[in-house]
Amino acid sequence: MTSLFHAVIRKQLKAFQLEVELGLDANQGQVLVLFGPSGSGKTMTLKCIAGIAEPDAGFVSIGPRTVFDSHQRLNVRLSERKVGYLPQNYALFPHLTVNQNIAFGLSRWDRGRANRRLNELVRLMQLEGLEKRYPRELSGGQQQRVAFARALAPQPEILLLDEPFAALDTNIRAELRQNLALLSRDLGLPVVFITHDLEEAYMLADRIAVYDQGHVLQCDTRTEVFYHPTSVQTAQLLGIKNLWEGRVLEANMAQRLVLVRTAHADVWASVRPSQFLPPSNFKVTLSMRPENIKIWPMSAKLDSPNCYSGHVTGEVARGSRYTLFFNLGEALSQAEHDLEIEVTAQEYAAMGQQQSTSNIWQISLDPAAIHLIAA
Amino acid sequence: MENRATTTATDNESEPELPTGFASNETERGAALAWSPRLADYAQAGQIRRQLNPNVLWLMLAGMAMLLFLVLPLLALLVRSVATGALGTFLTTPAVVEALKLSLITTALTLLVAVVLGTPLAYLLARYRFPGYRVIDTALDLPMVLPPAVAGIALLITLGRRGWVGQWLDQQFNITVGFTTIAVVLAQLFVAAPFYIKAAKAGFEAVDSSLESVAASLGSSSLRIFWRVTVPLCLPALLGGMVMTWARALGEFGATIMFAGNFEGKTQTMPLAIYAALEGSGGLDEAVTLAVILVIVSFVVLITFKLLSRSGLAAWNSPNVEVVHKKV
Repeated sequence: MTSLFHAVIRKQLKAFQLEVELGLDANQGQVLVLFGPSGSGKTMTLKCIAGIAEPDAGFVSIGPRTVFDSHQRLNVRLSERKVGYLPQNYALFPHLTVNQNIAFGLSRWDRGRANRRLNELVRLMQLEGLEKRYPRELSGGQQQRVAFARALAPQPEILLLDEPFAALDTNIRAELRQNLALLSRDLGLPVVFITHDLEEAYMLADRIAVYDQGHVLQCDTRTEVFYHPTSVQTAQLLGIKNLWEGRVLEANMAQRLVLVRTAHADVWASVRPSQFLPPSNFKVTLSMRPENIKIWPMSAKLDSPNCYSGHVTGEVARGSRYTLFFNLGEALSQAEHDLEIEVTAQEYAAMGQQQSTSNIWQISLDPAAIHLIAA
Repeated sequence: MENRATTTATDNESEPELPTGFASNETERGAALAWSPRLADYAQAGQIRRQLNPNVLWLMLAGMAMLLFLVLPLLALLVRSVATGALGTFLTTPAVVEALKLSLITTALTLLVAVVLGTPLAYLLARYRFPGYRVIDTALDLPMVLPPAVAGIALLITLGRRGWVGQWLDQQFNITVGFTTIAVVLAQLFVAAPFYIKAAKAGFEAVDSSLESVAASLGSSSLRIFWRVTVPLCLPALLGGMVMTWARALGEFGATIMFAGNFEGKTQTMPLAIYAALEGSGGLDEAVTLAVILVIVSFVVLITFKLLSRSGLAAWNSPNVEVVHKKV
């Protein structure tokens, strides 16, 4: 396994101690996304990798090169680290034209080679015709492409991006994200990317590191992180809505099923082969993705082990999808709900036709679609 | 729509006394509400006559008084010097020529030293925080607020023949600083350099440090970053500070006369020459001539700087720059 980069960082920050270990191996993909709330230490991590900030203790390597090691008192300077660093506001040089900005890192190249590289990047980033403009004369998306071109020009060995799409309109964002996804694969360059946008994280990441208060809660492939969070905290940060706390009532070893008693209902959940089978009375949290919950009229005959009836207490339209708020049993409180259910527009329309006056529905939870989190 | 029209109509009836100037004519007002205004109906601009806010009149009156007070004396100088022909008579007298020459040379030297030694200090203060930072920062303000006479005495007891450093210089190297042209430069430097240092510091502080970080990540040396990124970005601030320092040095009187004395051709700069002329042989007309020259030179420098900083100097910095807010 070749390591694309590896970082161990300990640093005392104002609010907390940053303690993270991160890495990306060649067989794990190329894009590592640092995801988490603002002020959780993501930017500081990036700055430590780039060499803008110095860890109190730690180790940073980029490819085969060790650029920081507090044991060896090794600290390769920012200008020697060969990182493409893009801060949040792009930091384009306002007094230089697009061309001068891109060529800034090519000052030590011989002129012919530098010019070829410049032209290549202008083409790659579709900046033709803008070469003589100043950054303030560019749109947000163009500025961003210039910043990318400038960062890539001296052929860095890693690309460090701090929320590069945060300041852009949604439609430009989508386009640029797509570009970045293609770009990182084309260039074969490892990318560390900060975002607090879930969708963005999912779209771009090969691996996701979930940050909270200076710690990495979980670092894994994006599907693992999104569908099998290892802690309740991670699940909450990822915006997973339906989290039920409970205790294991009984376990079925043969089928790897457990019955969990929660404040809402008793639920059968399956345990993945990689997970250990929790014994009786073990505290667990069930996580159910809203799109995996099926809703049926009362007349339907269901054979799922987890069938419940209740009321839809509210709904929110989200374009092609609808979120329904669901209360188990008879309680008809508007303020609280037991579950959030997501249905497609077609399903929602079908529900409208079946709707009974009492507004009582059945739901079924597939045990295999319920994720079990210890504690 | 109709609803609104009728309610307004009834309102109108119950309030017969509308302020004059509005459409008090009932039919006119009713008619205006009955049709819906379209963009095309308002093709012409400037239908409303702008009225002068009466408060602005007071502002203008007070402003004019202040302006008159500031400009009239300068105007009087110009008028008198031309009317009496003094400008022509004294412009070429040795005392005037010497004073002008000395002033230009010493202020240029002062500016040079202020920039060469002040820039590193300003950069340090802008980029780093250390114990005693506030004390140093305040100490730099002192020469700007102290009366120049205090500066003169302070310099005298430090660098004068019997001063701390002066005595040592005198004994070791046989160098006397006091009452020489060097003393003039030192006096000017003492009172004027802080203007440049302060301005440069503010300028450096205003440069986004992420620009410098990015420049470094692109493989640039610190020196290249300073010259290619930092300096161009705060050039207006640096030049502004230079102009302030130069102007302050040009007008320096108190510290100079105490520390350097008033010797023609050696330490007698323009302000000192004005004083000497008024006291001595030249009289008022010579003093006026010197004063006019000073006014003209200062005005030309200031206006040149203003025009420069408005055009080419900061082309990228025009007001429509989009400010990207950094997240804290």
